Amino acid sequence: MTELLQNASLRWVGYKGSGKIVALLLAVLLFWWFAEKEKKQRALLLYTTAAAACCIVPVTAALLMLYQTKFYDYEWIWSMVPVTAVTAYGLTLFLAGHWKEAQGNWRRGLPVTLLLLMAMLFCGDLGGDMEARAETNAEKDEAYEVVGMLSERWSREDICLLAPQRILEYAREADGRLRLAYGRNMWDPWLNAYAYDTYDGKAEDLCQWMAWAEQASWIWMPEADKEEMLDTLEKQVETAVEMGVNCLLLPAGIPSDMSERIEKAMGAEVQTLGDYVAFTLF
Amino acid sequence: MKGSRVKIRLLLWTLPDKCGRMSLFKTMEAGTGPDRSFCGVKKNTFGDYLIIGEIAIIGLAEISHLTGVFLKRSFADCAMLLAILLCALLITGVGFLAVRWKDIFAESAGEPRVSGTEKLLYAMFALIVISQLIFIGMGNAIYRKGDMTVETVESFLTCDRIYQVNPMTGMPYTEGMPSRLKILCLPTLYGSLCKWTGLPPALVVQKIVPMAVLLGSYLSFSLLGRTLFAEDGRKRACFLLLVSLLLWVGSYRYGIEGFDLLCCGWRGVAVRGGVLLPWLVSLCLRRKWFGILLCAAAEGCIVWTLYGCGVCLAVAAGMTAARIICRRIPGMADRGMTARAGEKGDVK
Repeated sequence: MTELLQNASLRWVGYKGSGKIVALLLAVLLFWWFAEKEKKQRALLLYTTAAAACCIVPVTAALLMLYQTKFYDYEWIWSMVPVTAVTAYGLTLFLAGHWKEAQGNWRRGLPVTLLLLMAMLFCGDLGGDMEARAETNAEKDEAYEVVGMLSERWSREDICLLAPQRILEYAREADGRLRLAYGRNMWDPWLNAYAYDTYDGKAEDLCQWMAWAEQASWIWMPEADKEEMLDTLEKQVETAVEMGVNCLLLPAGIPSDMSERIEKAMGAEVQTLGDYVAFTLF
Repeated sequence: MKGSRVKIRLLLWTLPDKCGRMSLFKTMEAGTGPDRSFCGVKKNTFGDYLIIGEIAIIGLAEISHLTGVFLKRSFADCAMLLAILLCALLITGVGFLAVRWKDIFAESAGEPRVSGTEKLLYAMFALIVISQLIFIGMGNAIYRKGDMTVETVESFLTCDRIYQVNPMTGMPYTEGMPSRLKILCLPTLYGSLCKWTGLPPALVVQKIVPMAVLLGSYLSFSLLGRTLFAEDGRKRACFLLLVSLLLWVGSYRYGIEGFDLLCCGWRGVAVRGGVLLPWLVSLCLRRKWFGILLCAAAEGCIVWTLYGCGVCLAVAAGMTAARIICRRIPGMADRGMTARAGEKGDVK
């Protein structure tokens, strides 16, 4: 319960900090309670106020999180508050009242309306992190291209793939026929809730080794990581084959001695596949 | 010819408005005479029927999904069953509309003309909706963290079985999966769409379905707008415009309605937040309890509520409690509400 309470109070700080849509809702509720003369739809007003208060106060927020059986994040208790509907309703009442006072005079009515719209727009993040989105999309395109080439070249094979994380991230989405040594749930723990299956230590070690092996194609990697990666190379390749892997994909830039050792350990020949090299058992 | 063009144009201008039409003005008043159907429930609007249709689709998808899960039928059989059920639903729906056409659209004829301001507001609203559809179609902001719908649909189509392999790896399950999760029907619905059209799952799930959900969401908000501003078309147009702007504004964070609809609209939580909940609030304000039960049932079929009762029932209970409190506390009741309660004789 203490953990839930802490979670509820900390997540509220994060929730209101990243954008101001909740602040806008609270402002609308204040306007509705104190400034609006004709209070219609009071049941909606009362319910929204109570529900928002329950989501903000840590004790009630923790109880609501218990109601959704602790699986869902703090954000989801806000599903109980009709944020968009009530904010839009309150703003409509405000604008209608303002235009009524302005008696249809554009010069009096328009500035306040535009100011309100500006304030609304600043409650969001005005497009978000475009660079991060572009990077994600580039990674996705690359993964789709590599998986496409893989599926096309060995279209008749039942491929069990081991590849860098950025390829495995989209591999099953791009082609459902591919099997993987481990999937996206290795680095996205929320996905583990969808199955009782878990990964053993071997799969986790293999994932770590793959991250190092990918780094070996870079200009620099920490010396200690490089040593451990090279020391365990044969062992990890054997583990991969034991897990059913018949296609190992690595960046084309890996050192040639490493490539030779993998070929020998796996008993496979290396083949070029775009910017990658594939070690296949078929 | 010219006259029909004008009529079509007027219909397009007022489409979001007409969806909530039918006999809401009357149902907002006392439920007597022609406003009450045979079982005493107030009449639904055309928009209500459209959302009931959406919920019916979810229900039919659930039937075919459960057939695949419990009777171990192939996915192709499930998709075929769903196609047959949807055809039956379509025929029933068209028949129902044909029989009750006059009832449903009777009041549209006497509707006041759409003012210039309303047209301007609806035009701005339409532009924003189009920009949102383009945004979804571009697929630049797809949020898939914690979600494996595409992989699940891919595995259904590839194995021709439901949940025979772990969607994350394509390997058979070693320990299985939670049964409450296993009965959620959206992957079967999306997979069936892929099966019928031949389109790739990523396209259907991440682009086409979110567009449909967004439009469904505006339908729900339009019904809510009609409930909140039954008497004023200009306010309804303004409400819809503000909703569309707020969805843009709220696209900054996971868990906010705008983000759910624009970045991950295929998820059950997005359907719940965007389509079911606005409609549910409108139903609560109109005291239409059957629809509320439908929402709760639909939520159970599409959202993993674990072993809890879900959000729809909680919201309905909260709204009902708020209504009762408002009725009991002097000065809190709306004029309309007091009048209705007075007619029923439960408030002096």
